[in-house]
Formats: sequence, structure tokens, C-alpha cells
Amino acid sequence: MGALTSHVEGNMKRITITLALAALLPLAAEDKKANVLLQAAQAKETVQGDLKGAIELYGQAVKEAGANRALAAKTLVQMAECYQRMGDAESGKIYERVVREYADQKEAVTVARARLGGTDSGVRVKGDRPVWTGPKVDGFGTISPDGRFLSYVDWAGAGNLVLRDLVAGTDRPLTNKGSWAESREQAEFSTISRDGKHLAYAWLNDKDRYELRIVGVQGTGIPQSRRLFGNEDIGNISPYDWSPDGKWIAVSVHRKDGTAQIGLVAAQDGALRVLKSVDWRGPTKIFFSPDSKYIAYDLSASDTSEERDVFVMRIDGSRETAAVIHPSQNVIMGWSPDGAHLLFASDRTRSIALWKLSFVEGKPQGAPEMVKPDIGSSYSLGLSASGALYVWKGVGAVEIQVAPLDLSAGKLMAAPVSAVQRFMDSPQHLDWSPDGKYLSYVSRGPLGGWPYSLPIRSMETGQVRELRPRLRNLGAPRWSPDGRSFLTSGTDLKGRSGIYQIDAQTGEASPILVGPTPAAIPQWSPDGKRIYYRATGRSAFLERDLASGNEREVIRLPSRLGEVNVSPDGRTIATISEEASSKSSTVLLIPVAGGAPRELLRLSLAEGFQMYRGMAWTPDSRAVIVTKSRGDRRELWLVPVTDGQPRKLDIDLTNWAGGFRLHPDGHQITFLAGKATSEIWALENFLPQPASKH
Amino acid sequence: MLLLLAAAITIPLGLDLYMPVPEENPLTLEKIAQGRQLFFDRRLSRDGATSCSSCHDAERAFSDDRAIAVGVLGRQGRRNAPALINRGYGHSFFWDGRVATLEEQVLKPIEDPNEMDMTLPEAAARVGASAQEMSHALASYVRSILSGDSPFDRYINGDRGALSAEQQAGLQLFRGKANCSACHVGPNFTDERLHNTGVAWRDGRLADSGAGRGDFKTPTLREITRTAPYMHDGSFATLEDVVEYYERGGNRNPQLDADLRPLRLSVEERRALLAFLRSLSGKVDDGP
Repeated sequence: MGALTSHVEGNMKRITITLALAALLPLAAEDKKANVLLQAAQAKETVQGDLKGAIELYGQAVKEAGANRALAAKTLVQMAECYQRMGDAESGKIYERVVREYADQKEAVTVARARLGGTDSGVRVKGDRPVWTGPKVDGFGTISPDGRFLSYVDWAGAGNLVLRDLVAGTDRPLTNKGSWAESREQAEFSTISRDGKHLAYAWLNDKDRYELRIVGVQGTGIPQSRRLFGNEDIGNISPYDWSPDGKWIAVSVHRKDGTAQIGLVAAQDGALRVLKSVDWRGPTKIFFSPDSKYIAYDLSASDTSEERDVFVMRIDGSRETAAVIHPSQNVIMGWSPDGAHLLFASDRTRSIALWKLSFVEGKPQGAPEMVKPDIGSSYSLGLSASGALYVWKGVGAVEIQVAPLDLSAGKLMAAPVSAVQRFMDSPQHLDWSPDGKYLSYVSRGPLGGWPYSLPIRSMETGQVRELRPRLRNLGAPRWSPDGRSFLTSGTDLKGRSGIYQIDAQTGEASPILVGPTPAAIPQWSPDGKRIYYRATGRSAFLERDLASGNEREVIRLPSRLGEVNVSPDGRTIATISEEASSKSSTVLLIPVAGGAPRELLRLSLAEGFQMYRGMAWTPDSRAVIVTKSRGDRRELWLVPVTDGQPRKLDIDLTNWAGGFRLHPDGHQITFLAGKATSEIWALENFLPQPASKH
Repeated sequence: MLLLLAAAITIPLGLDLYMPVPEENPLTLEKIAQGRQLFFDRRLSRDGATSCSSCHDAERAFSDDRAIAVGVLGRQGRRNAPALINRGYGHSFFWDGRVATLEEQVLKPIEDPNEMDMTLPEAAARVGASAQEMSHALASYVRSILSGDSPFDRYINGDRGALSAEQQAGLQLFRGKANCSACHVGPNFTDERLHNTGVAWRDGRLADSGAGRGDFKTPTLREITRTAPYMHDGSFATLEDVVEYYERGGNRNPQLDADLRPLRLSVEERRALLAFLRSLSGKVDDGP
């Protein structure tokens, strides 16, 4: 979805809705200068994190907007938001000015009033509450009609499906597939029937194929499930909602040709009714109307746009109605329990708000109304019968930090400092340029989600230059040895996964390898002539010659392999291997030229090594740094490859979030710090109260 | 087969149940029947010898076996007459995608001097229906022309015996190494978009600019064994010619689509790809 990041190596997906900045203000010739200034201000604010610089540019844009009151009002709101983030009371004055002077600009005024804390527009801001927090929270499930139970995937529990009792705070596993080392099977999206007795869920089986399964949730223990639907042409299936009459399960199906389809699976016999084939990104969610006659979903406006619109279709496929068409991102959130309103989240006022649209006899009526401002990056898990909307929200943030490092002393030589000040969104996938002068990272945009960008920060000047490759998803871009390009796994605009090369000047992405086998975490050879990668689904590392396209298998092992780490001298690949039989985690050294791998260090799985983004070679190729983990506790260890004993580095990883990258000279280390997590919230009191009966 | 769409047509296996139909022209049995009559009615042409069916032969999945369509008085058209199957799911019409609706498209050949060479009032007077009635009826009839329930459709819906091993290998190539699904995607095997595949590039220039850059709309591959000759200009007589053309990466030109590149297919792989393409022929129905 414009909202779903890729599924990263078996970990949890994060779902958000994004801001399509360029779409907010349609360009008109007379407003060109104002728009140029506005876009520059937005870049200043969101890419560079320079709020003061952004405010100055927003101010100029307001002056240039002249008679374009819509542009001026929206720009003022954005300027006020900058002040607000700085904790400057000037924000309040600007919001008041918008309310006072731009009464005709409804959306801007609605936002300004909401920020001022007013509720005179009918907006209710009370009643929001977290109902579940903690490390296990995920957003693959739905809420039960009584609001008591939530289905979810327990990623720490090896991908099992679990039903959480939000009142008692207890969990009941519904599947039991063994550890990750024993089985790569996992549950994904699930939906609870309206009678609360059954649960339909997607299951990635041991043949690496998705199927739709059903399980009864009454009683205790692990219930017996049954396979309802699946076939070999299905790349993925996501059950999103169960019809109130119990007959259908609304699904999004991804075919192996990249097509997404909206369909219904009959709960009785598993027959698939394909209603509509759509853009490969498919809907973010599908919800049945309370009378079971319609489904509502959102779809991308085009394959080059992050905008989404909301549609409603009769379940017999006889009619589709465009319910919400707006140059912004509009994501379906559900229906009001009485079926009178369609609910959707929209970023049309720049921040994400909850909106409602009246719906009568299968058709929308009138204009949508904002019912709750500033709900943040939220993904709907459905509504309870009482009208509470349950959402999965992203909370917290991480930032990039850099610290000087002395490997011989085994410690940081100074406290870490932020490399990018006041960054608005959680960055990912750091990498140093080969000369160590630049630090690159992947940014998901101002509010999270797509479009992805690849900012490059000069460590000398602090300037940030941003690349925008035409890729839907960016893996972990790695600088080429000559510093002219990046190598990354990714997904192109047609939904094709593969390995891409990104020009470090222009951002142009060229495919190196695109095909049915998605390639994971590619790495360069030191001379830049070959790449190495692990093909998903195969526990093997491959080498590809870039000039000829020829490939060879470097190694294939029965154990589960982590990512490729090529030594600076190009002779050895270091990786982490996990073995189910011995329940152990091992640092392996694999000769690139061929030959048997060498075991460097072995631990039990109870205290294993971090498989991804937790390893680096020292510049002299004489040691590897690995991340040892036991529960939440992590440590960095320096492991010599020839002689010497492994030793723990005296570095506190408590505040680290994810992996690290070692500077090419070995004297600095960069990592992500902070905490980005998610919570389940109940949003209440946003629908009209039922009229009291006398 | 799935359900009836507005009780007027039957959607075959493999196609979407939802077909976009304009609110102002709902599908009815009456309009489909009227459209079928008009489709075969030679009075819609200047010389009274040409009907829609003259270039859209039902026996050939509503396509034409001539490279370039021939209209009234033997006049040559500009391009090959495309197959009309599953056009109800289309987003744009004609090889250059210049028309957005079926209602508009179906009247164009009537007015084209090289096709039927009539004015709409003339045609309307001859058949006793208004231009709008003709438009609505013909569009409804075209929407009823559906192809599905092919061996491929049965295969992807769980009948693993519907495709031979060679055809299954061809399907893998189609979606993988041969990269056909870059454009021929979805239930109708078309992205409904414009691409420059180099076919119009001759002697260092564009023989036909298509939509402007030598680009033409991706045609469906359904019923492909029945729709030769191929491409917008009918320049390839056989499917083997088509595969050979894409195998070498198309005619290089400044606007060539980025997805075109030499495929390096072996003889066996080409054979498998062709075998798969032949599995896309199923049942063509027009109307209830």
C-alpha cells in the first residue's frame, strides 16, 4: 500500500499513510514563484530539518501567493506547524490569523481550529486511548465486534497467529508452528467473523505459498484450522474483512504476474470471486458495509502517484462508485456501525485526519467532513459495534548518530552525536561512501511511507542532497566502490522486485536483475565488477558478473543464511548461519573462490547473532564485528578471523535501533538511535451520537 | 463461468466480475441485440458493402487476417484491425489510445473515409436509430464480446493439468526471463498503456508515430492464435516472427521502451513460450 513498507526479512510490516507534498497545491502559472518557494520550504523542512530556514521560505511564499488565498492559507498552516514543532507561540498567532482572515478556506481553517484546540467545528478530540502497547504490537489483525479481542502475528513468537484479550491482557496462540529455525511458515493478515467465533487468516506455508485458512476461536488451546483457499498462482493473499452475514471474506490477492485483485472468498466452500484487477499495489484494506451489500476500498490514483482514492462496489460486481476522489492520500478506515457513513483517513490538510462521508443507497452524499484531526500514521483494524475505531499507530522515532571509535581500545572515543538534526521521519539503511565523506540513508518521507528517497549527507559541510529513484521500495543501498552509484534490492513502478543500480548523481535506477526470484541484500565486490546476493527461498549465495550477466553459486548450505558481507580484500564472505538441528547461530567465513566455509564462532540460538545489518569487516579484513543478542540485550563483539580471541566492545547499545555501519577508515561508526514502535489505539466519540429515545 | 453482469452477459472464467459500464449506458439485452445487428449491418457504410464485421471477423476473435484494414471501395486503412475481445475492460481505444470510451470509439469507423465513410446523420437515417442509440448499442455489443475460460485460466484457478509441462515452462518465461508481463499483464494480458517496441521504426525513422513517439497500445494476447497478422501494422505473419522480434530486443530507436532488451532465449525456451501463448485461446462469446 502507499502505506505498507516491504516485509523485511520476516519482521513486522509497518503501515502508514504518506504525504504527497507535490500534490497538495496544484500548479498554476501565476502561482509559479509561490509554489517554487513553497516546495523549497518543504524540502528545507522535511529533508534538511531546517525549521527556521523553512519558516523564512514559507513567509516569502505567502507574500508571493498574492490573490491565491487557498495557497496562502495552506502555506500559513505549514509555517505555523514549523513554529509549533519549535515550541514557539508564534504558531498560535498564525493559526488565529488563518481562522480570522481565511474563513473561506475551509480545510485550512479546520486544521487551524483543531490546532488551536477548538471544537466548534464539531471536531471531537477526546476519547482516544491506547489499548495495547509493548514490543508485541502489530497491525496484521482486526478487532472483534465487541472490542475485546484483537488478532495479531507474534513475530517474536516465530510468526504464530495470536488472539489477544485486550481486557484481560492475555494472549492465546492459535497456531503452533515451531521456531523460525524449524519453520519459515508464518501468519499474516487476519480477520474476525462478526459473530466472533471464527478467524480467517493468511498463512505462508512450508512450500513458501500463501493460503487462506479458517480457525474457530471458541474454547481453549490450539484449535484445528482448515485450508479454505489457495493455489499456486497466488503470490499473496490478504483477508481484510468478514461480511456481516458471514458468507464472504474480502481479500486482496496478488497474482504472480504482479496483478493485484480485489475478491471475495466464499466462507462455505472457498470459491474465489474476482471482482476487480487493479494496480499491483492493491488496496490497503477492504471493509464490508454493515448490510453486507458493498465493499469499500482504496486504490492508487496512478502508478506514479502516492495519491489514493476510495471506492465502493456492490459485492456482485455490478457497480463501482467513486466515493472519495481528491488530490491527496485517502485511505479507507471502515464504515460507521449504522452504515450511514464511510470513514477514511486523508492527508488533504497536510496532517492525517479522520473524515466521514455520508452514504445512502450505495452512493455518497455531499462533501466529506473531518471528524478527528491529527490521528497520525494510522492503519485501521476495524470498528467495534459500538463505533470505536481501532488503529495501529506508529509512535516514536529514530535518528542517525555518529561516534568516533577506537577498535583497538574497543570503545567509543566520544559520545555519539546526531548526524541529521531534527529529522522528521525515521531514517533507515545507512551507508558510508567509499571515501567516507558522505553518509547515505533511506528516508520514507515526511510522515512515513512512500515515496522513498535516498538523501546523501556531506560529513564535511552538513549539506544534504536527495536522490529520488523511481523505485517503490528501497532495500539497503550500498555505495559502489567508485562512489558513482548504489546497489540495492527494490521494487520498480510495475511492482517487479529485483536488484537495481542507482546513479549517485541523477538517482536514475537501472535494473541489474529482475525476475520472479526476489533478490535479497546485494553487495559489491571490491572492484565493482561483480555483485553478491542471497536469493530468497534458497539458502545460497550467488555471484553475478555485471559485464556478462553470468552467475555462479558461491555456496549452498542446509542452514538458514543471513546477509552477504564481502571482506574489503574481496576474498571472503562473512555471514550468520542458523541451524535448526543444533539450535545454534554461527559466524561463517565463506571463501569467495570456493571451498568449505569456516566456522568462526558459534552460539546457542538462545543468545544468537543478529542476522541482518549487525555485522561489519574491519578495514584490514582481519576481523569482523558482530552483534550478539540475548533477548533485548545486545553487544558488539570483535572477532579476529585468523588468530586472537573474540572480545566484547565496550559500547552501550541500549539506545541503538537496528544495525550499524563502520566508516571505511574504521575510526567512526554510525547507527540508528531511539525507538520507533507501534501501538494499538481506540478512537472514539467521532460519530454522531444516536438520538436518545423518550 | 462466474455470475451474470447486470443479468445481460456471462463473465467467463479468468475475467473480472466487475466491468466498468457508464451509468448513462447500462447493459441491457435489448441494446446488445441491437448492437449485434448494427455490427453486421452493411448499410452503415458508403458503398453498402462494408460492416464492422468486415474487419472484425467473429471467426478470428473479431480481428482481421489482412495486415491493414480495407474499407469502403477497397480503400486501405492505416493499421491492422485489432481483436475486439474483452474491450469492455479497456481504458483507451484504437492502437494509439486516442479515445477514452467505447461509446465514442464505436462511431469513429463509421465516419472514417477509409473505413465506412458515412456521416453520423446519414448512418442514423439508414438504420433508423439516432447516433447516440447507435453508440450505446454498438458499445453494449462490444462489451458483450468476451474471451476467457482458456487452458491458462483453468490452470491458474487450480487445474494443474490444464497446461502441459512445456506450457508451464513457457508461463514461467513469460513472467520471468522473457519479460512479456512487463506489458502483457492482468486478466486481459494488457496494461492498456502505450509503448514504443520499435515496430514502427524503419530505416532510421518512424513509419507511424502512433501516439506521438512511435508508441502503441499493448494489445491483448487472448485468442492470439486466431488474430494473425500481428502488431499495429500487421507486419508479422506468425507468432514465431513476434517471438523472434522480441528475442532480439526490438528495433532500437531513441524512444524504445526500457523494458525491451535482447532476451537470450534458447530454442527450447522459445518453443515453450510459443506453447504457452497458444494456451491463451479459450471460448469467445458475444452476448448472452
